[in-house]
Amino acid sequence: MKIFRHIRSRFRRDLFEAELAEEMRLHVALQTELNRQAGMSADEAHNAALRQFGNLASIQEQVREQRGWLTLESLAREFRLAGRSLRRQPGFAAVVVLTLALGIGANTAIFTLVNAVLFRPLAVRDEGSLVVLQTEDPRKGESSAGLSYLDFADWRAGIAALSGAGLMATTEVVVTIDGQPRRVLAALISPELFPVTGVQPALGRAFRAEEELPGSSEGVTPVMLSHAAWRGLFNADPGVIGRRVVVNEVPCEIVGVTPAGLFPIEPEPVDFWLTPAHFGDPVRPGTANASRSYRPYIGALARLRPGFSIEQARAELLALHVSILAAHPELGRDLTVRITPLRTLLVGELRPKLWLLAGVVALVLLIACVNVANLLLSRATVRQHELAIRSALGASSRDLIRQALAETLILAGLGGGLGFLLSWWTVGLASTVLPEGVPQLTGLVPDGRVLAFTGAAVLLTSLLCGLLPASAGGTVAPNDALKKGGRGSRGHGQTAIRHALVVGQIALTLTLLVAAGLVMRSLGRLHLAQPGYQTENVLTAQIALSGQSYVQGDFDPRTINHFLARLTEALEVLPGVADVSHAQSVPLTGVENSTRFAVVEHPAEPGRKPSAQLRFVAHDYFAALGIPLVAGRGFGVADGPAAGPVALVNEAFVREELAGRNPLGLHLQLGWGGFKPKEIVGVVADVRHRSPGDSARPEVYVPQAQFANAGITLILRTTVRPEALADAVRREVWRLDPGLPVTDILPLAHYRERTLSGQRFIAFLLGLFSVTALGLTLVGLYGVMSHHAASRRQEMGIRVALGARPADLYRLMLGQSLRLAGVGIGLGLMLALAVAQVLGSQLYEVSPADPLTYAGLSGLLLAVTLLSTLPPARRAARVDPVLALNAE
Amino acid sequence: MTSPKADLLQGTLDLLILKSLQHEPMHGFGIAVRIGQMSKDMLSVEQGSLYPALYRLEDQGWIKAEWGISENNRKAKFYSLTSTGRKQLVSEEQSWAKLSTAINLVLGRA
Repeated sequence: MKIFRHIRSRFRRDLFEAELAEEMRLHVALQTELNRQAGMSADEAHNAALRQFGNLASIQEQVREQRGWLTLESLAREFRLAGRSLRRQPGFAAVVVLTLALGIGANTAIFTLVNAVLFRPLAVRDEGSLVVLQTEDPRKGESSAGLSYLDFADWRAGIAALSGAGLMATTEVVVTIDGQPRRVLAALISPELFPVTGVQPALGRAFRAEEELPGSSEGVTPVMLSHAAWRGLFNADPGVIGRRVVVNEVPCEIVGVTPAGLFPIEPEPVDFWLTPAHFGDPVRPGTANASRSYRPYIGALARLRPGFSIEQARAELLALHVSILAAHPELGRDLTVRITPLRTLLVGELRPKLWLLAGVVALVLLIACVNVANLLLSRATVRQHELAIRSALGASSRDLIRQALAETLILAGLGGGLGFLLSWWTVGLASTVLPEGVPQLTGLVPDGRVLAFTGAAVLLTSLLCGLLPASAGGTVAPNDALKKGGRGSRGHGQTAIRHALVVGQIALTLTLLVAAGLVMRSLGRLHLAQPGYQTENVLTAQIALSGQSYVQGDFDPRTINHFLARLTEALEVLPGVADVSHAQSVPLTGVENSTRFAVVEHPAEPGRKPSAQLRFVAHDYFAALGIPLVAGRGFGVADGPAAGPVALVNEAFVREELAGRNPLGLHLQLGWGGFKPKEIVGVVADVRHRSPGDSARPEVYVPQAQFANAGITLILRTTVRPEALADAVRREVWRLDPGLPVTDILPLAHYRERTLSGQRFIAFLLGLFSVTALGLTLVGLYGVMSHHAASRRQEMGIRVALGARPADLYRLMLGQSLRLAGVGIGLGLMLALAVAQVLGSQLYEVSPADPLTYAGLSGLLLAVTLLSTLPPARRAARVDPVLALNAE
Repeated sequence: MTSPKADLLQGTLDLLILKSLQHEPMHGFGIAVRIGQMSKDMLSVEQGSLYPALYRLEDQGWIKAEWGISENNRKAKFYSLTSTGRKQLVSEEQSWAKLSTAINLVLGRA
């Protein structure tokens, strides 16, 4: 009801005024009448009546006030007034709006990114109850020690808390479509996986339960396509169902296509879906699925049965695992199992980084708020004269607070709007700068929740920033302010608050600077890190030598060796090629294997199953990549299939697995790569295989010539730009064998850049934020000091009149800001140390307490503080005492 | 009206206004006169507080206003009690009775 009344009185304001006036007039008339009856003359009666009535205007005002303070018209008036007063000080308004825009824009941008990674649901049903079961070897810290089919079968049958489970593995296969072979990425999944996750095929059908193992009735092995493969390899042909392809020599039929958007990753990491039948029949000895020691699967994806918790599933899994280990001691005691919610696993490594970023952004918003609050507070102090006059003219303290709040709301509104625009731009920028393979960070736009968050941030900011100065402005006793001549009415409390804000701002900025500085130094170290091999001017290419022509049943390497020898000859004579070599796994390309091993002369303690990285390399591999030989001899041309089996180890292997004993002459028994014991003939230097920042792990090298590997990476050391030779490489390969899949012809430097891109992104963002924070501090301090100086003009004037020299005034101003900076930096150092400890795990070869970083940045902040104080100090020093003292 | 006046609190003014409108609608001047009459001139209402109070009571829905013709043929705004207002009057009278009893007790003891 009241709302309608308000609206009515707003729209018919003049009517309301007229009514009120009419009412008053009647009252006066009646009173006059009464007075006349009491014996006064007409005029006396009227005057007496008016006097008794009191101040008409004040009563009218009171009645209007009675309407409540939030009428639309009074609101509009407040905003108009606020706008006008802001327009008179455009510099101040601009600074505040920009500050808020930066703080809020950054917030929104990061929220969008965090939101995209953490909160967007996967294209599966009821993601919350999906879990992943994996094995792990805690000694090695590998993310997964692999799963065997038989273990999985036991788990699936033996854990009541799970209502369905599916196996997963990834592998590369060669698929021949219409006679064209290509190497593609394939995922092996149990037929159960799609029903368990609730994924429906977009075309055709999913796998049937009986197709999990070979020997299903139809005789043709079913495969499914991913949506991306369907589009890319088959041009989205709707008739693709039923088409025959050949996968690794096995004839298959395409039975279905998975829907788009299944993966939160672009590009999709899977082209073909196969079933575990690919790894053979578990009852046929010699196939992968038949052995518990051969663990090609990444893990099992399962759904928790309704009413069961993940802890219950974990308990059952552990118990089952213990009994499996007891029944199969060959697995070794080190193997453990773990169960993780699906989302946690997918986001995994990225999450702590993102929360770090979110923390940083909150910091920046805080700094921005502190800045703005300080600016507004300082301005309010200077405007006390004006406020005092308004108060004396009848403005209640509620009015003053209202106006201050209106101003702040305008600023916050502009700041929020600008901030939102800024976030659009930043998110767009981030989408192009980002690392590949990071979930869903391409094509981002800020979404509705972001809007809500921004809105809340703006409101909170304006409340925070508006309340402080408004309460400061509203508690001014007009008399005091007028008496002191307007400027410089400094309540002790107010100044203390402002000083505290400055100190806080400096402390927070230092923390941010230190965080950015440490991360950047870490990145710099990573860039410079010597991985142990040459990365510039090296071209790599992947070729797949599978197929009858290369791989005979008993792994005879002679055919492959022959092909590789001819290829090497052909490539070596190309212009721009300095050296040609090859290996099965080259650093940085993401290919690696490991194997169990045993040192024949020094058997391991019972229950320990040591494993090491296994590399198949050409004899000139080390020379091509510049990896030095440390002891003994390297591989030579003589180390071929007819010679005795040999191996090389690296320094890490000697350190960790042989306890520093001389390895030369010892014999290694490997899990695969040839079963005869190999003699260790030399030691090579450590390399960092996975990324330049990786730790060196124990590695065993075996001559490629002594073992047939189907997947080979060619290495070319070039004297020209590596990319220039890509076509030539392809041409030479096809001259020897047309149609042989040769893919990923990329320089090694490309892989190196890719591993660094994640770190680079963080450093970029942190750097951006720090510069922003520094800028905010500079501007904020300048503003505060300016107002401070302005409020002390009278005092300065008096000092000069009493004989102070400009140098003294300088010292006064600078001394004060130095003291504030000192306290701020001190606090900041402590805060920064705490934050750096949290960062510690992300840093590469940089200590969280690195003194150079801390000292340097503290110095920078001090310089900035002084810089921002100089202009106001200069103004204060040049004050004309006469003007200052006379100023009102 | 020269007898000693008592100061009126806002709440009690509301009560008095409601009471004075109990039997018939009245315009603002009339209410002031009526209160003076009912209190045998011991209370007189400041016009400055009367009209704000009337508008406030109207906003709260306890009285309603209508334009009519006054006794000397002028346009006047007449206020009357609403049904909510009547209930409010009863409850305020009860509160007042309790309050004054309590105060009397305290004073009696002192």
